[in-house]
Amino acid sequence: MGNLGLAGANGLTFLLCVMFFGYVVLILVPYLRHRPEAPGDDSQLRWHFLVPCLDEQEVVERTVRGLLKNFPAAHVWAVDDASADATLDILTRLANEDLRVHVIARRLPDARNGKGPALNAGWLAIERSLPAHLSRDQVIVSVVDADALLDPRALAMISGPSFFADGAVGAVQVQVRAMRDPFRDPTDQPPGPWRDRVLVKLQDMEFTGVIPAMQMVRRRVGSVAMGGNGQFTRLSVLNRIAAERGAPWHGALLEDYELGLHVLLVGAARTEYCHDTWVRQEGLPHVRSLLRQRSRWAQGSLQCTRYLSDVFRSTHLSHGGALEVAYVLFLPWLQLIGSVAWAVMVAAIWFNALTDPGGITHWIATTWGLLPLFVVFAVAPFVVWGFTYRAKFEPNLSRRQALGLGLLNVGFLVYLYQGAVWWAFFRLVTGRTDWKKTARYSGPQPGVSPAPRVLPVPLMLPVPRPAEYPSACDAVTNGAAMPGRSERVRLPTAIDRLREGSAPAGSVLAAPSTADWTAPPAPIDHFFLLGSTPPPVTNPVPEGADPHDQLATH
Amino acid sequence: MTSDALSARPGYAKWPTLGQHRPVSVRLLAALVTGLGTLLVVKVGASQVVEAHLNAALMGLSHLGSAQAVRQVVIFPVAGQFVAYTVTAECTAALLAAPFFFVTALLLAASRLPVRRCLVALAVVTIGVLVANQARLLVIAGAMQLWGAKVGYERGHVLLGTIVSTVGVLAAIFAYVRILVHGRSGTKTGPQHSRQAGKARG
Repeated sequence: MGNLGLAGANGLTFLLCVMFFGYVVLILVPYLRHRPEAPGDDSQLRWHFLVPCLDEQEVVERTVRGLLKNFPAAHVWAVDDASADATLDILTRLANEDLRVHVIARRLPDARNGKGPALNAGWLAIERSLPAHLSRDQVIVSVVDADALLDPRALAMISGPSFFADGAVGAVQVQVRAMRDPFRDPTDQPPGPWRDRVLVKLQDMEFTGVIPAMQMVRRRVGSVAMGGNGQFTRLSVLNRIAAERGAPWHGALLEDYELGLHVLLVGAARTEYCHDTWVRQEGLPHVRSLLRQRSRWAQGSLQCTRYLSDVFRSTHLSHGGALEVAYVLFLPWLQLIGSVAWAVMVAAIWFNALTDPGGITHWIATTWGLLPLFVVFAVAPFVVWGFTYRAKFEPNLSRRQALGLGLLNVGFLVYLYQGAVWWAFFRLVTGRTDWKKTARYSGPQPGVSPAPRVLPVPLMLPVPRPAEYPSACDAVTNGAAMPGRSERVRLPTAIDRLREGSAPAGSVLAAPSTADWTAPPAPIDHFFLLGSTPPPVTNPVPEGADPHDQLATH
Repeated sequence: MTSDALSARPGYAKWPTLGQHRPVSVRLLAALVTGLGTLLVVKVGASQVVEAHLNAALMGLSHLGSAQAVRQVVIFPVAGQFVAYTVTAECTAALLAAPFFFVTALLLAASRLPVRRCLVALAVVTIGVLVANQARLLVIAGAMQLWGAKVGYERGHVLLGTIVSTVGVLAAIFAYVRILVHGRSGTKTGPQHSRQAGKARG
């Protein structure tokens, strides 16, 4: 039995090595052959950026200002998830300066339950703000991290014929880059400890190399995955997911990949990947925070295994797409099994070397062929990305530096992921699904959720239509159908709900749709409140006054 | 677009009862395939003997010398002396083919790919792995004939033989996936079909 186990481990590791080598060759070819695609006319679409925020005071302002400056026709919806720092204050100030900025302030205990619920709150607010006659197919909702810089050409690139100009495309993911400072040129990054710089470089190499290469193969089989930053989705698709499954984003720790699965499973929508534009985000300079991030990804992937049945039964996925998704969902399990098999094989090799009758020198003389095999299977598939990174993104790197990055990539992709996947597996079997926000280099470390903060008095502006229907969020929560486009959903005024204290936890108090989309939005209620405890109100509507009259004063 | 029309598109699921569980006969077939894969693992000794005899026959056909197999040992002459190598459990194709039996059983049990396509893919990969392993054994024998027993075995067993089996197993895996995904040659995949349809819609 022991010999059989050893033989099985030997066979399994050989198969895994061969499959991995073949997979790298498979994804490398289209990646190297990629040619830039044509841009399109982004003025035909309506753009809305969702920026989820949790303790982002260091970075959120320049992110929002960057979006406003580069995309003047777009709106920015910042969702503050009960930040403990000054994030909400900063967002409130930005909202008061620019009518294109809208702030959704979530409160405990509803807040701090993951990125998905925060994004759902933003989605709902966007949907409710739009006129009923506006086609949701023409509205694009993008998720941008609070520390991100989006390529000024991004909207034009993803409006091209291969992307949103094609009516069959429901969602597009752009290339992601990791930088120590996303707002500085990649060749002009700030100085710092070499370990920090190298670790961020390795993440950038992964985001610009192996991940886009996988995405390019996924384009061919129709299973492009969504990422957490730089994802763009048609509002009609988000609404359809919500109609079928309650809300666009769900509870998996990998809510972005889960969204991509839902886009594919609802059908009549394709996911695409655009390599010709980018979003830059802060890379993680510490191994511990990187390990935490990757363990969250791995656990999210393990959680998404529950979709396997839907994937295999879906008529909207090709066979290749279904198999590719199955491969991705099984990958953490393969890594777990493979790590055990590899450990057995390494132990066996050491045992053979140490117990060779002719001594270790004789063993080396008879098994020297293992070394080139090790280089080909265990080293080359990782080192190659160092050279592609140098060729495509970092021409200032020397060949030696590219080789060095490639060699470090072995430890980065192999041992980091092995550690992350085992940590994720441990958390899964012990039932731990709490959400750990990725620590930011420039911000506070995540810790225990703080006590609810008393908000400063917000500037509340009245909503001109009286309440007749429950909020859309309540409707979705209660399982009711989404209101159709023929209905104009009239929502409670913010002032009314606050006075009554009847705002239920998690409800959205939203502005009504504007009558004319092309006109500048009326300066009313671009501040949204969620939560069960309304703050004190200043500038209330006088008794007997018509809220509509307030419009004239703003 | 109706489910029937969707499932009629090339590259997409064509199982007429998509979304429903497969018939009992198919599930039994999946169980049978699982059993065969398990048998390959449990009775690996029998596979060793079969492969040794096959290798001896192929060596005779390929003019590498008249070889004979005694259980899992292959004996053949090198430079006037008889040498032998053992087809061990690690060296047999059975343990390389077994995982594909389990994967195919899963695909059969899932409501996705046609039964015939799964079985053809399994047959192709099993034969491919067997051929690759036999080619590896022949390379080892050839290296021993060329460089002498000791040196030839060292060069052939670890390095040359692994290269040959890697290429062969890789080709077998590629064929397996290709058959599962594409079926008949020239069939467009779903996304390309959708991309072209999308362009037509503007």
